[in-house]
Amino acid sequence: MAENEVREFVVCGVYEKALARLCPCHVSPVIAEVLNGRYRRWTYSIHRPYRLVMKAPAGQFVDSSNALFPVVSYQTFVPIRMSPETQVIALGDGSFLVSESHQRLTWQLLVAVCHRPHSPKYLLRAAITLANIFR
Amino acid sequence: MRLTKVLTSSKTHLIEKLCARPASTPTAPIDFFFLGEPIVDPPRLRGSILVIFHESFLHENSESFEFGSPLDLGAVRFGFFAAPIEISRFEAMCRCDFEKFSSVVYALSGLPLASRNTLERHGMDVHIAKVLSRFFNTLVIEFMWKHAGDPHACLFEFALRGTYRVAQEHVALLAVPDAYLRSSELTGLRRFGRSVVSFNAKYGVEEAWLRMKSVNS
Repeated sequence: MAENEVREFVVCGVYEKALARLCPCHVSPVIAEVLNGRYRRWTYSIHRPYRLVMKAPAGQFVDSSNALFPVVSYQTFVPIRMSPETQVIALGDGSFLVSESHQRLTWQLLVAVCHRPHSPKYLLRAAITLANIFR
Repeated sequence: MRLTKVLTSSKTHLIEKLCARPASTPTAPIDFFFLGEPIVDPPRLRGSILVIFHESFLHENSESFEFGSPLDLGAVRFGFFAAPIEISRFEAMCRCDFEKFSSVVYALSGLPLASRNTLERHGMDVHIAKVLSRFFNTLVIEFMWKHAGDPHACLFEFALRGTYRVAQEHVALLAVPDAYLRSSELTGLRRFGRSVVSFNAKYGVEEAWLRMKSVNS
């Protein structure tokens, strides 16, 4: 992608589904460019230290973020504006944490864990995910 | 030659096969696999679990083989590639049965190392094209040359009906997010022992694959 091109990108889903018994966990975001209210999915690479690097458009502009895939096999949600540092954490009941702020992700994850019925394994996965926010 | 499957946790039937659990549904859908390495630069569709199979997985599931193709037919059908002729006719040129697909794989296995490496990374060269020209129409080879920079044009995918079997010796490597591994859902993966590696899900499967490759090389 050319350096001087300014595009607006949003996270509008995750490349996962049926996460209930595997969460909380980081998930790869579905990223789309928004132009005049229309959406076009982009491919991206994930660099270390953590950074999402946009690569190329995948497909055409569509009217809704729900129409980004010809076959719906991923989970979508209301588009959220993103930055290259944005992380997405699935909580397991269809809700997601989307933020580039480590502090906000940490706080929201802790609150979410406190408000959910949990097993020791859920707590262990939450601890791993908490550590992964910073790694 | 290695075979690859990148999947999400919604592929319950495949996860059940990997974990050696009885199937929870009577009929499992068709699953797609491909020859070579995972697509990493960057993937067009992402998954969270990576399975690398030995070639024996293909040969020992011949009865479940649905079809094979040198290129990603889904990408043609869904408009990521423009087919040079009517899509259904082009698909028919690409699709092959088990006998033909395994003959193609066998012939490609005899290529020089540099070409085999190119093939594993979903690239194209004159040696690969020469082998393929023995099996496929010129239109297919020309299409693959035209889109040679796109890994989906040289994917060598194959589809297996849900009756396929995953044995312990079929699996060379399983990369699973570290948090997933602490789930009762995936406890059965322990049967693969040291073939299972974990990674920080934030960085995705492709970063885990590149890291494993650099460690092993």
